[in-house]
This record gives sequence, structure tokens and C-alpha cells, in this order.
Amino acid sequence: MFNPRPTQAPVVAYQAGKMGVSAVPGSGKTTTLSMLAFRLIAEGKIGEDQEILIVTLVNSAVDNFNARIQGMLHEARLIPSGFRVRTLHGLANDIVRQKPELAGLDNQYMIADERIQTVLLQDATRKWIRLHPEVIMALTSESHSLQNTNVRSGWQNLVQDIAVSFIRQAKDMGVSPEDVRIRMEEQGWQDQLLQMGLDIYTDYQQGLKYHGAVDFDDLISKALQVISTDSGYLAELQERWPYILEDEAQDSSRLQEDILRKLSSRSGNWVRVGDPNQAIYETFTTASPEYLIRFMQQPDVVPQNLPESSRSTASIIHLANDLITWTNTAHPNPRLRSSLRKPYIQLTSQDDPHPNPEDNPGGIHLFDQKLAPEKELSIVVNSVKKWLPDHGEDTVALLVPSNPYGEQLVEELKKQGVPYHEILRSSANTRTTVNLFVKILEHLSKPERQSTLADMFEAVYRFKSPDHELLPLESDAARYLRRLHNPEKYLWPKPGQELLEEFQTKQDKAELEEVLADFRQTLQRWHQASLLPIDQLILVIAMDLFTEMTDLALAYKVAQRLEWAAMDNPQYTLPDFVSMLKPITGNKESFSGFDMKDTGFDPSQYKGKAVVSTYHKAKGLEWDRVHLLSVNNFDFPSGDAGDFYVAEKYFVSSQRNLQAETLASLASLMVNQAGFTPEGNPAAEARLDIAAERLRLLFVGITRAKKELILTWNTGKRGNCQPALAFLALKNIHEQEQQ
Amino acid sequence: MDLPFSLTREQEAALESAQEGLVLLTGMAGSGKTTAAIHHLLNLIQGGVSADQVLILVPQRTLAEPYFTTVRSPGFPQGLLPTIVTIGGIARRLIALFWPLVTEACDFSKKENPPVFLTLETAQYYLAETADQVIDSSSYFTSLRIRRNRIYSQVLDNLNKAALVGFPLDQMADRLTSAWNGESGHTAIFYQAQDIAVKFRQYCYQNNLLDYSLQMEIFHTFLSKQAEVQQFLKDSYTHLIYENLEEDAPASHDLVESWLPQFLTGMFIMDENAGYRTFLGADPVSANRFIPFCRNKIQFQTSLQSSARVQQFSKTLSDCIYRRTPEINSQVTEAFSLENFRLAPESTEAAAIEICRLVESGVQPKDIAVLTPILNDTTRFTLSTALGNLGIRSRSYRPSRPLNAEPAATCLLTLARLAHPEWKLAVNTYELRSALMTAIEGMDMVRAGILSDIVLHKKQDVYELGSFDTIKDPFRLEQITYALGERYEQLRAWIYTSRQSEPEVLDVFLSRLFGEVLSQPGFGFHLHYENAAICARLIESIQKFRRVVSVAGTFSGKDISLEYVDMVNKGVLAAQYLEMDQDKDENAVLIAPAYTFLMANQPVSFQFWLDTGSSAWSERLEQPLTHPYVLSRNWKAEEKWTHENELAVSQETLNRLVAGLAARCRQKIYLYSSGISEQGQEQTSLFLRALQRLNRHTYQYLEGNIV
Repeated sequence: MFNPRPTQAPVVAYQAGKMGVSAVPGSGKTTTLSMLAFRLIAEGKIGEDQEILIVTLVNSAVDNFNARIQGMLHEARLIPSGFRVRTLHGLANDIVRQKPELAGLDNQYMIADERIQTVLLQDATRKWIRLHPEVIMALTSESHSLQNTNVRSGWQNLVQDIAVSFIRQAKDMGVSPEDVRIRMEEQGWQDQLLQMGLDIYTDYQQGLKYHGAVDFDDLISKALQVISTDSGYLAELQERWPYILEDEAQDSSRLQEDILRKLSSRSGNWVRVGDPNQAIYETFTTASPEYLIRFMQQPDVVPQNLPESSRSTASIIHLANDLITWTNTAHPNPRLRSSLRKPYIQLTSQDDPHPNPEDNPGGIHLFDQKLAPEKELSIVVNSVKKWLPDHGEDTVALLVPSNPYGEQLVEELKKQGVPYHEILRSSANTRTTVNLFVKILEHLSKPERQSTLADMFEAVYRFKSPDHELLPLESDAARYLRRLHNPEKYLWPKPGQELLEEFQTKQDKAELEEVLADFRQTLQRWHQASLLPIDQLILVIAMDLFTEMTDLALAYKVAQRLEWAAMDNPQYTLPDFVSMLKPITGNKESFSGFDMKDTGFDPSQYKGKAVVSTYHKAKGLEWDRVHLLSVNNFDFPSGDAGDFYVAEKYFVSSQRNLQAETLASLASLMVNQAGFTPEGNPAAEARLDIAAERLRLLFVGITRAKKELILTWNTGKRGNCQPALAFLALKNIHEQEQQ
Repeated sequence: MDLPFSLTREQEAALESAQEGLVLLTGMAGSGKTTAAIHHLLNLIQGGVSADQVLILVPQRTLAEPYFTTVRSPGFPQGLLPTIVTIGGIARRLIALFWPLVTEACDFSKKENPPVFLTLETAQYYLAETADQVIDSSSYFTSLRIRRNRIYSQVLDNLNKAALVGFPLDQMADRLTSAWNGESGHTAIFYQAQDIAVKFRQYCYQNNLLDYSLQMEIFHTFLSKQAEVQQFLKDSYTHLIYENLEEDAPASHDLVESWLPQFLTGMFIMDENAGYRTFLGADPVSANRFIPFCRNKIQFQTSLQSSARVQQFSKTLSDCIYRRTPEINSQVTEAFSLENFRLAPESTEAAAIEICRLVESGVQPKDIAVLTPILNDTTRFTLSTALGNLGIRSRSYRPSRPLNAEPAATCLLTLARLAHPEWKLAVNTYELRSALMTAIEGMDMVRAGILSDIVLHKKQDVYELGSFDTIKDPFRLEQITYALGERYEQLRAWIYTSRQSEPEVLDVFLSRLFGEVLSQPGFGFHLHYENAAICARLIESIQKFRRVVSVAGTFSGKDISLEYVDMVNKGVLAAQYLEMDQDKDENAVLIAPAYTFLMANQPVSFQFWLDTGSSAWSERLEQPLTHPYVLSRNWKAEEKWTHENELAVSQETLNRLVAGLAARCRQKIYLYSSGISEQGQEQTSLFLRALQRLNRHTYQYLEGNIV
């Protein structure tokens, strides 16, 4: 059984009331919270119809909590119940699903995934630009022409980005398009940007409504709406969940805080755990580490720290702490000095059962050579290539700030022949699962082609195999299928037709026959199921193949999406459905699971391969060796005038930050209504927000590494970027310490 | 006559008191009330009452089944027959009979034309027209995220509720609004729904269309009050049997109450614990009004169907649902088994294996029912193939399933399109492939695909089917096989002959296609009862549609058959039937939604309850535009519908449902739950919590016994 560290013990011993816990990276907060939940259950604090509610950020954390708490209960010979782990979206969905009418929803409402949202937004954006050429013209800088296709597509992307953040912020504030419109009329506001945001928001909501769908942001605000309206329902939920444990509380938003505050208001039992230094999802949302920080300062809250981390070597921990110190004391912009906060990360004590890895000061490299992006990629990949053969039991990750750069990195890895695994837009798991459906549907489209049969066979058996490799026998079977001249004789033999008629090799014939006969049985079912509506076909296949909750949930999403398409396009046939799914497998678009973040990635399963991820996706994960790429003043700006900002477009006149301006207008329009007060110059404020969040992102990156850490930077697309200030500062400090 | 020789004490008492005046029989399902009523019917006739003087009222047609079986049986006295009917049926007959009276008083525009009675489907069809016009030209339902078809069905629901409960259509929105406990902005949609309902009603008046709600409203508020009608009824019927009156609506109760003086005898049958059709307007509280009129009340205590231990289990389960401490004993533990699985497919598989074990031990498949709260294709397909692999036949009823999702229906409609080039509707190779798989026995997907690719081609905008005889490639011929090719050729020849002959209406076309080809040996509908039943439903649906729209005269110029096919594609027409099909004698395991099983009222020995983790066992269908409880007579004006109300209703719904199922189970109930639903979501439901409680207490009981 888990023995808490002295610093963890007060958290595990929690009895009642409010507690705020600041936990450094690698401090074992999942274990601590699980232990706390277990203790409360074991001590009988939970009634027959009650549960401890644990709210966390991503599905992988849900699985992790479930497994740990169940394990502890199992070990103590207790019935594995009395707790519920949910992501915020999952919780919101649970709440709304029971009372959809209070949220103006039909009980068959569906949750629009990213693709649907993107399609709706693209349409609305295109329409708006077409109808308002004069606005675009007026906002384009004189030195750029709208004849230029780059500028035109730049505008499409920019307007869409603005709309995304406008909609998100409006929903976060709980205001509908109608609210904004009325407010603008009342106040006599004339603001082209605001009008643009409003128009697209209106169209977008109508699109969702047409499809009977809500998006993720709606779900959260609807949940709050439901429990705010129905006090009886709220009381039942309060009764059911007498303790609320909140994980990753640094990414809490206003709405999330409101929901959990309401749910815990009767019992008063609310434990919030997070690391303000790892708040990296805040830009253009109301999510903010401030909520956790303010909570911990409330008089009725017991503050606790989990400062010890056993993850990294002493040197890496020092480097992360150096970043905190430098930010607090030496950052050139005083307003950014609070972007990172103490406590410092502490090493675990000598006698800890999980000690830190042995220190290796030479394991840190801050490579300050000026490199073009292509050069950075080739140097990093080359370095990993050399390192891998001697470190078969170790893990390594290459972290990039953005997906496009990650895709370039993947190309480089392919070019140099380095084994890799990437978790960029959608996780490999999502893609494998969707790819499986593609292969199966392709076969069902053209079952008479032996290639579809063999491809599907391989996809199915790879999926079933833990390492996604085929057994020799299965490879033989695939080869056999690929050579099959008459697939119908194998699939649906007529009397007298032998299964292995065309098969030459005698070796292992019986075993091979068995594999093929098994597969045929499944396939015959799918052939028959192909007469069912497409969504039901998908679910039949899913029932046959999947045993994991996430796979089933994904299959259900695929089924829903295809059903939707089939309703809108009754003429659709199997190849149309295949072409809808293909972009997901090719990583062209994102297809997240139920949650916005992908699930269930375990770095330790990818030893001997270079894992490619964004900094954001790496949160919560750890590797023996970590490469942080692109640490320059574009991806990690410092609020300095010389920096470049993603949101400030070269083709916009005066390089205005239209996104920031639009959001500021929205905030000040709604100020009296929703209590939002915009401050100062929006563009400048936006720069500060980005710079602060990027400091924390760097901190997250550094703290992913267990033994080795390598930072590099590049000169950016236009060749004019500099190393990030933080990079230079760390380099300096590190060298001094070395000496 | 197939009646039990010996009657129970209660049945004897019932027959005794039924000889004169009004008697009430109450008790659970399976306690022998209907059998007593049938004996009473026979006694009346043997006592000299002319059978046609007996009115047998049922709230729903499936409940008429035992009576129809009786009057059709060879032992039933020859000659006139009793009237076995729903109140809606009487309304329709009398409106037709007294139509001039109706047109005189009501606002029908075409007074000289006959009435056109709409089915559920055709009502939906006309409502869709009205609703689409309104919604497309307004900002209606902007706060609501819901598909159009669901708006239509909820507006229809409201129309029916208004008529069945008996309040004016224009009060519906006020009622819903006054009970609304949420944000005030939401209530606009109630008025929008009401506006559409009112416009639809106007449209009906303009075109002599009578949907169910208008039939009931006219009959309830006007026609039944006319002296001629009252005299007619008085002359027609002197004896009444009213079956399961708790499943009927207040308006029906009003009518029967007003007729009471005319009856010499009356037998009222009531199951106090039922009321399953609440969502369709059933009102058990309103039914209680008949109690004071009855001279005698016979309580049927013992179940003839359900064993004592199943009854005890039912009580235990009820305790768990209401969060009381259940009493567990050895009787109870023998009456059920509860198995938890992580995933839905695992529990389906386990159920199939257990069923197989039962059948091997000698249980007849027809004595087993598998019940789910909602039956989707996946569960049905997975379970029926699993059973099929174990050599067990199964049949399923899914009354609310749209026809365009049934392979047999799509097959028929695809072949119809090929036979009607004048419709100019496209057919693709996938549709043809599926149609051939369904139409031709032994036609697998691979061969159907190869064949479709070769034969289907487009010539001058017409989709043509090439002849099998023109395929020259020996490899292809060998692949397809001559046997299958020959059958295809038969089907093709039939289609081309049909193209040449005089055009005929779609239902006639389909019944010929079925009779002359598809039902023949070698074809897919031969001895395939489910396909045949679907074909029959489709034909009936088309007939009704055709009759209604051609009589109504609302439809000019367009080909009715083509319009029908269009509407099925759009999902407006679904050919949904609320009643069970009639092949119940087949010796096969029944797979059905729980409510369908309840209303069919045919007990079995063993029940398998799947997906017990689902919230659909207790939650009413969430419908933002309507509300079964608020739109009832029992709802007090100005009262708010709260979460406590909802919870109470959910518990009651669940309790009634499981008690009703248990009352129709003779020996044992097998319950299966999975922690994770088919949708990959963790289950949390009232039923699951009740079962967890049951599990805990059973566990404690068994542990205690071991000690």
C-alpha cells in the first residue's frame, strides 16, 4: 500500500472543508488524491448512494484515477464503488443529460466535435468575408494586396481565429448572440470587428442548432444553467457528492469554478489541487491560475504544498527552479515577474522509496547556436539517432510548440530513418482506431478485391496485438489473402469450395486455417451487418473489436458523425463514408475523443522510438530524455518590443492584433452586464498574457525530463527570430553553476 | 373454446357479481381478470344476450387480442359478434356515420366531401408541410437544438394530449409555461409549438382532414353530446366490458362515464399498478372515477402467471428502487440472477450463453424473452446472431423503428425504383448490392457486389439492369455461380415485364413483387417471417397514404407513389406501428423493448433484462415541447414541475415497469448490467443504483448464510 511522504500526509489526512494544494511537477498528486479518496471511502464517510467526485482535465487522468482507487479498494477487500472520476466535460454532460430540457436541448442532443465546429466556422467565415469585402480591404496594410493568395488565405484564417476566440469568450461570459446584439443596439455601438464576431457567432449557433448539437463550451455553460435553475436537482447532486476533489485546478475557468462551488456549497468539502506554474490553456479564455491562487488565499481554505518531486535529476530540478527565480527577480518586464511562482521544486529525501534519478549535470544542454528551422530539425534528429541504439530501455521525446513544425519534424525523422511515434493533433490511438474503420469500410465497399481483404486483415490483427506487430502466422495469413484470386470462395464458400484451395504452403496449414476461419466468421457477420444503417454497422463492428472505453466512445462518435452525414445526404454510399473518415487517419484534421485532449498515452510503451509531441500535449507525461525545440522569441516571447507575435499579422495595417481588439471590445460591451472589466491597450495586454503563458509552457517542457534535457532554438520562418530571453538567461545561469 | 376448466375463487366471484349492474375487477397482470371477462362474455351470450349488444372497450388494440382470439375460435357461438374497439375507433366510426351532423357544426371547408381520417403517419406528413412553412419563414425554435422530425412528433403529441385530456388547444402553451421551472426565455417555444398546432388544425379544417386529435376532440366535445348519437349508442349496446381502463385517457373516461346509464351490466378491469401509456395520455387517476359506480369490487390477489418467488423478488426490487432496506431470503435469491460486466457486448454474449443453456435443458425458446429499455440494431443484431450461432431462433419487435432503416424495406423500394424509370430516381451499385443480398437467398455480399457492378448501367437517364445471360467473362460467371445468376435473371425479367405492363400503384406493385417473386423458394422473403411482416407493413403504409392523399385532394399533379418514396427517404414517413406483429406463435426467443413486451401482455417463463445500467429504464423521453404530466388533468395550474417531481416520477415509472415485467414472468429473471455503455460512457442510473443496493444486500445475506 502507498505510504505518503511527510509532505503528502496532511493532504491524505484531510477530513472536511476546503483545502487548496499547490503541487509541483512530479510530486505524485494523482497518487495523493487517490489515496485521499480511498481513505474517505474506507473510513465509511460515503453513504450508500453517495460518491466522491473527482474532476480532472483529461481522459487519461480519469483512467489513471480509476485504476488507482480501484486497486487500493481491491487490495483492502472493499467493493470498488463510492467514487466517480470525471473530466469537466464529462461531468457537464452527465449533468445536462439528465435535464436537457432545462438547457433547451432535446434528449438526443449530440456533442459537436472539432470537425463539425470547424466546418461550421469555415462556412460562416467565408460567407462573412464575401459579404464584407470593404471591411477586409480597409484593414489590410497598404503594402499588401488582396490579390495575393497568401494574404487572402491569411485573412480567412485570421477571421476564423478571431471568431473562435470571440465565440469561446462569449460563451465563457454566458452571453448569446442575441444578448450581444441587443447590447450593441442599446449602447449604439458601431464596431466592425465586434459586428464581425457577432455575425459569425450567430451563424455558427444556427448551424449547431440545425444539427441538434452543442459544442464543448456550450456544454459547460448549459450544465451551470441547469444547476442554477433547478434547485431540487442541485440538492440531489450535492447529496450524491459529499466530497469534491478537483485535479489540475490551475486550468479552472470561471464557469468550472462556479459549477464546482455550487456542487460543494452544501457540504463545503472541496479539495483543489493544481500547479499554477503549469497553467498553459488560458489564452483568450477565462481559465486562469488566479482562481486557484485566490482560492488558496481565502480564510476558510487550508493551504497545502506538495513541493517534493522524484521525477528529475537534481540538475534538471535546479534549472526549473532557476527559471522561477529568474522570472521573479530578473525578468525585464516587471509585469511578467509573477508568471511563475514559488514553491520551488524540492528533491525527495534520501530515504524516499522513490528517489530522484542519480544526478548528471552533463545531461543538460542549452544549444545556443543560431540555426535555421530545417537545420535545427536535422541536428536534433541526428542527435537522437545516435543516442537511441545505446538507450534501448530509455524513453525520449521531441517537443515542438506547434503542429506544423511537428509535422516537419516527422518528415525529418522519416528521412533519417529514425523510429518514431507522434502524438500531434489526434493521438496515434485515435488514428489507429479510425484507420481500422476505414480499412473495414473499404473492404465492405469492395469485398471482391483481395487487397481490401488483406489490408483489413492486417489492420484488425495489428490493432489486436499489443505492439501493433503481426505474428508470423498472421503475416502468412495476410499474404495468403493478398494472393487470393477468388475472395468470394474464401468469404462465402459454396458447397465443395475448399477454404485453402489456392494455398500452396503445407507448413502450419492447420493453424493458418484456424486463423482464417476465425476471421471469416467475424467478416460474415460484418457483411450481413452492412445492410444496417451506417451508424449501426459501425457499432456492430465496435462491439466485436473493442474492449476499451475510449475506443468504444470513439466508435460511438464515428457512428454519430456518419449517421449525421447520412441523414443530411441520403444518397451517401460506403465510399463517401470512407472519404469522410480518411482525413482523420492522415492527420489532416483533428478528431478528438469525448474530451478536447487525447487520452491514454503511456511514454513507457515507446522505448526505442522518438516520440513527437507538442509542449501542450506533453503535460502530465515524462521521458528520460527530452528535446525542447524552437525556444525562440516567436514561440516564447518575453513582452519585449522586438518580439514577434502569432496574433499580429503582417498583412494587417499597423500589424494590429485584431483578435485582442475584438475580444476587448466584447468585454467592454458586456462590462456592466457580466462584470468584465477590460484593462489598458488590448494588444499590449494580449502580448503580456502570451508571454506569461509561454514562460509556464517552457517550465512544463523542462519538467518533463527525467535525466537529460536539450534545448535548441531556430531563426523562424522569416529568418529573423532570436533566442528567447529565458533561454539566454538559463544558459547563463547554468554555465555559471557549472563553473 | 380454450378456457381453463376450473376457475379461481376470485373469477367465480367476479362472474357471480357481473350478472347485474357494474363490477370492478382489480389486480395485477396475470391474475386472471381477462379470463373472467371472457367467461362473462360467454355467459351473457349463453344467457340470451345478442353478441352485438356487447361493447368491449380496450385502450389499445393489442389488448383486444384475447377477445379476438375468443370470438374467432370455433367454439364461439355462430352469428353476430361483439364490438371490440378502442374509443378512438368508436369516434372514427361515428364521425363517418354522422358526418353531416359534424360538418353542420364544425368549421370544415368542404362540407359536401367525406371526412379523411389521418393515420399517425399521414398526420405527420401534413403537419410537416405546415410546420416547415412556418419554421422556414420565422425565427421559431431558435433557442432549441432539435431535428425537425422531432418537432413534428412533439407538436402532434401536444395535439393529442389536448384532445385526450380535454383542454382547448390554445391553452397548451399557458399550461406548459406555468409549470416551467427553468429560464423564462425558454417558454417562447411553447407558444411557437402551439402556433404550429393551431395552424395545422386550420389546415385540417380546410381540407376535411381528421387526425386522431381532431377525431377525439369532435367526438368528445360535440358529437357524443348529440341526441341522435346518444340514441344510436343506446340502441346499439347494453353490455360493457372495459379492459385495462387505467391505460385510457380522461376524455375516454368522460365518454364512458356518460354512457353508463345505458348499460345493463358492465365489467371494469383495472390493474392499479399499471398505467404504462402515461406518455400517450393514459391516466390511472382519472380511471378511479369508476370505482364508486361499481356495486361489487373483486380484488384478484394471486398471480396465475408469476411465481411466488418472482413476486417476492419484485417486491425486493421495489424496496431497492425506493431506497428502502430490502428483505432478502432464499426465495428471492432463486428468482433472479444479476451479473455485472464491464462492457455491453460481454453481457450480451453472457445472456446468449445462458439462454442456450436453458434451451438445452428443455425450455422452449418461445418461453424466453430478452428485454431492453431501447432496442437498437446493434443489440438486436449482436444478440440474434449470437443466438443463431448457438442454433437458437429469435424474433424481434421494434414497433417504433422507421421503415427506411429496415433492409427488407429498402430492398423493396430499390427494386421499385428500378421498375419505375419514369420516377427518374437514381440507383447506385451499393443499393442494388444490398437489394440483391436481401432479395435472393444465398446471395452474399461479394457476389452481389460483383454482379451489381456488371449489370447496373445508365442509359439515357434510365437505370438499366443487364441480363446475366450476356455476361461472357467465364471468370465472373464462375464467381457469381449459375445458381445465383439464374435467380437474378428471374428477378430482372420480372422487373422488365412490370416496366412494360400498365402502370400500377406502388402497393399493388409491391404485393405482386412479393407474391410472384420474393416469397418464392430461392428468394429472400421465402419463409422469412420478419421480412414478410415488414413487406406487409410497407404495403399497408402505402395504401393508407395513397387513400388519404388521393381522397383529401391536397395533392395534385405529382405521382403519389413517387411522393411516398420521397417522404420515406426524408424520414417524414416512417410506417411506424405501435402494435406488435402477429407471428407470436413462432417458437423463437423474443427480443423486444420492455414496454412493447408489457403492452403485448404475453407472459414468459424466463426474462433476460439487458442493459440494466441504462437510464432509459426510468427516465421519460425528454421532449422540450411537451410534457406528459403537466399536460394531464392531475396537474394543478400554476404549480411548478420540479426535480423532486421528476425523481418521483422516475422512481414510479421504473417501479411500475419492473413490477409489470415481473408480473409477466413465471420463473426467473436474469439481469445484466455493464459499467460502460455501448456509447463508451460510464453508466449512472436510478436502476443501476437500485441494483447495486440489491447486490450489496444479497451479498450480505449470502455471506451471512455461509457463516
